[in-house]
Amino acid sequence: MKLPFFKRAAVERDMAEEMEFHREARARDLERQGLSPAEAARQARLEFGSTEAYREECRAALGYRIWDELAADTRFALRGLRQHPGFHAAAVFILTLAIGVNTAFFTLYSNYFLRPMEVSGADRQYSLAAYDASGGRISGFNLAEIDALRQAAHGEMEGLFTAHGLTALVHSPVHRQSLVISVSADYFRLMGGTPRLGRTFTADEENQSVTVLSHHGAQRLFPDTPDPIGRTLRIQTVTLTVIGVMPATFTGNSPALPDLWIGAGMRGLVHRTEKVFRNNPAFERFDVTGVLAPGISRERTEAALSAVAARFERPGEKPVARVELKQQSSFLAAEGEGRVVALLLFGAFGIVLLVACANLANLFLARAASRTHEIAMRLSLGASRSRIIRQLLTESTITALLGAAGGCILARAAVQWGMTWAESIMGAHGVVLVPVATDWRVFLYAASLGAAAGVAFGLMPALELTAPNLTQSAKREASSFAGRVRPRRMRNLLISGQAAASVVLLLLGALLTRTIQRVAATDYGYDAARVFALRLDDPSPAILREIGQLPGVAAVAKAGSVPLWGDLPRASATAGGHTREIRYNSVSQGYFEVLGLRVEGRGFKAGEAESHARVAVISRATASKMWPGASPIGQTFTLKSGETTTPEQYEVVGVVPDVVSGFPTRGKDTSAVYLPAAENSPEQASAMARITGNIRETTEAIRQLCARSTGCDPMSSAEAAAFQTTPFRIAGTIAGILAGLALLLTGAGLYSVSSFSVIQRRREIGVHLALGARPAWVVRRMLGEALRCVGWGVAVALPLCLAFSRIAASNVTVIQTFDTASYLAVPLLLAVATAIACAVPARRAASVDPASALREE
Amino acid sequence: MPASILPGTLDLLILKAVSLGPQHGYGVLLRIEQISGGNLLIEQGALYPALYRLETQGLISSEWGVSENNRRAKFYSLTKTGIKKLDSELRQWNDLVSAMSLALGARA
Repeated sequence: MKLPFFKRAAVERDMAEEMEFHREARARDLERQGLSPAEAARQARLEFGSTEAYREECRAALGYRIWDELAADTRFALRGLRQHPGFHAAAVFILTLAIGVNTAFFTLYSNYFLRPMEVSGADRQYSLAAYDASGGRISGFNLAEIDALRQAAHGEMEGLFTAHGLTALVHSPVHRQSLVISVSADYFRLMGGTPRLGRTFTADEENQSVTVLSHHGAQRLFPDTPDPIGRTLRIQTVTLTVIGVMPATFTGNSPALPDLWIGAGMRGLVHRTEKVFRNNPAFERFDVTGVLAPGISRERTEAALSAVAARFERPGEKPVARVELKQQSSFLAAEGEGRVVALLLFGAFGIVLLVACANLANLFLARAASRTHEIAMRLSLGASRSRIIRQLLTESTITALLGAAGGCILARAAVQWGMTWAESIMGAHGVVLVPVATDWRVFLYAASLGAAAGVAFGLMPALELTAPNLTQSAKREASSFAGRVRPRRMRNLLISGQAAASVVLLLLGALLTRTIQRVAATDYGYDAARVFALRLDDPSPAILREIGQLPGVAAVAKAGSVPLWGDLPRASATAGGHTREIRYNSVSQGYFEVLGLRVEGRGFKAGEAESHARVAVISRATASKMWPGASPIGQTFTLKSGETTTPEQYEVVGVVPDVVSGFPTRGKDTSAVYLPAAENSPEQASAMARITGNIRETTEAIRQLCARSTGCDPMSSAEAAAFQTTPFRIAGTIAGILAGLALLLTGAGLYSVSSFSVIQRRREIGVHLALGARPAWVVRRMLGEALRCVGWGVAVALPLCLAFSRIAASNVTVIQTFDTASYLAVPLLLAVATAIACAVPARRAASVDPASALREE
Repeated sequence: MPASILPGTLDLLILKAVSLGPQHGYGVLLRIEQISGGNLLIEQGALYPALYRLETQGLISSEWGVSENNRRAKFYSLTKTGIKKLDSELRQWNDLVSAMSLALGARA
């Protein structure tokens, strides 16, 4: 028999009627035996027994009891909330903060990693992963291979597609940095997207100069017309014709909405790809995603794909052994490193929630002291311990669920604000994000956190409050728990735990901040704000000469690698019998002038690169490594790089100071060898310039100059460095917020525990003061206890952090995981916070009047 | 003199009484008294929680009908599961009784 909630009234009526029938039948039988009707009725009632008690048992047998008790507990809890609004408001506020940050993080995670994309067949999307015979991952297939795979899996898959995003500069009709996604021809069909204007790609348009615009792309790029079909736009040297516009509701499979889509074959032309792809576009590789036909098994499709992939010819590389399909119905897939990072982040946010729960456990423990009389009464009236614990847990869970509701609201606001902020930064690079939705997953998560928190911080006080105490009956003291050590130890343990958690988060924030500081304060060795990467589509010597003649431009040069834009390539250099790994850069004549470096010896002469002169300029660090103590000028060494087949001998003609050429976080180059590069050599795609005049005017002048032939987009090395440290800044901000919250909660917890302890131990303090102790002594003692408590937490957390940072140091080279200043500052900060938190309670303790305290009996 | 029933045996008695034919609560009470020869004391009201419990467990089923004197009453009858359960319980009870008798009748 199921629980018919909606038929409850009917069930109760039936029950009453049934029992009434029984009594009447018995009464009639008794009448027949000779009793009077009144007597019979009375006898029948007596014989039946306590109706209400049996009805209650019937309800229990039907399963209603649990729900009745829950309803009663809820009503009681709500009454309690109304009676102590301040206390519960504080608890709800703490939980709103803690659950709010957790829910905000989960909203982002769920939107990108859990929620299926809003495209048709999202649950049947799989990304293809290729592995060689030894299990190593092989990345990507070229277009011809993708066609072969498509044919092989013709029956099993609806289609295969690639989608690769890149940012490119659109020159006309408007000058705008845009996000472009290059896709296969049947991308739109597989995504279930129909254009609102025009059409999408046909099967053979993957290599053609046509493009489909997104809704906002059409608005931004062609603001003057509602129908841009047939119009053209220019990216770099490529002119694309608009053939279609997608509706605003189409998102595709990327979390960032592009301005336009182009065919996969056009990617190399639009994007400045690596040298090897420029020469062999047929070999350009893409990541592939497939849509499985409904009802087809994954294994069968994998077998079909693997069979074909194994036959691909890839000279000089390991052949494909097998192809695996990995389901990916959400925008992003967390795997490998990503999963570890996600877990760490959940852990960090979870720590804040734990700290909040510890705080609340302390608060509820303190409040429980005022309820011992009420609970004792209930226990003596026959309530079982589990029943009372259930009631207390209902109270704490309701408070927690209120906090969860508040947390949802806070999370939603925080996420909206965060997305707006992110869009304002990314909009400059042409990236528009898919809106983040707060769906049922988020609510479920918040509710689960609330329920878990409610049990977590409510269980301990409930257990403490209902624990039987045999000696309590013998004593009659106003301050309950007197004589019982356990509650105080419990409270101190909670405080230590909170302190430990705060230490972990504070250290994380401190380390990240130090990294950012260090990077910002790095001396690059040159003025990074004046060194510009010109980012020309076609850096011909003619255009470079013209740029060099502009007022405000001091020098131009070409280089294989512009400083701060990426690591330099490696090679091995042999000198004096020793072979070392060094980094090198092929640079043109004006490179040192662009950086403003003084060359000891000489730089490169005109024509040296063209004549393949084997001369080199090295950095000071390289010189002291290869020829310590001696002048390197005139020395020779052999160099073998990945590009040359035989080692070549070079002569050192100049020495330059050390600079930062690779990523900004790496610090100054440990070694740098500069080789001469010709002005029109194809290897050097990167043009640089030194701008000494007004930066804005000069960059505008450069753009105008380039607009006539090629495009260009000058960006300073300083901007590039700032862009690269953005992830650290974001991480540092988040860590700072979490650490601040944890510290605040710990401080609040300390304050409440100290205040309560003063009240509880008034008599004891009074005795001390009466016996001659000075108020300062009382303050010192209280502070000492608090610091000892916090000290234990710090003592446990610091070694754990040290151990963890050792493990992390091997994986994370960019952040310095051990920093003396941080490890010293954080405990100090905690000590100061403890002192502040205990200040007011300590003063109250010192001002206890011994006489009145002792008089309390 | 009527003995009060052992705790836990009420369910067995109810199942046996209902197995003799569909009956309402009062009728079950009368039947138990009848088949025990008036030697078992049953608390009248305690019958109903047991009836509800047995119904929740699926051993008996209930239906509203009309009693002998045209009053509305709820009639209980045994389900298939109930029949099986009655058999197994009876067997267990007989085993228990013979074991106890053997143990208590042992001579020193």
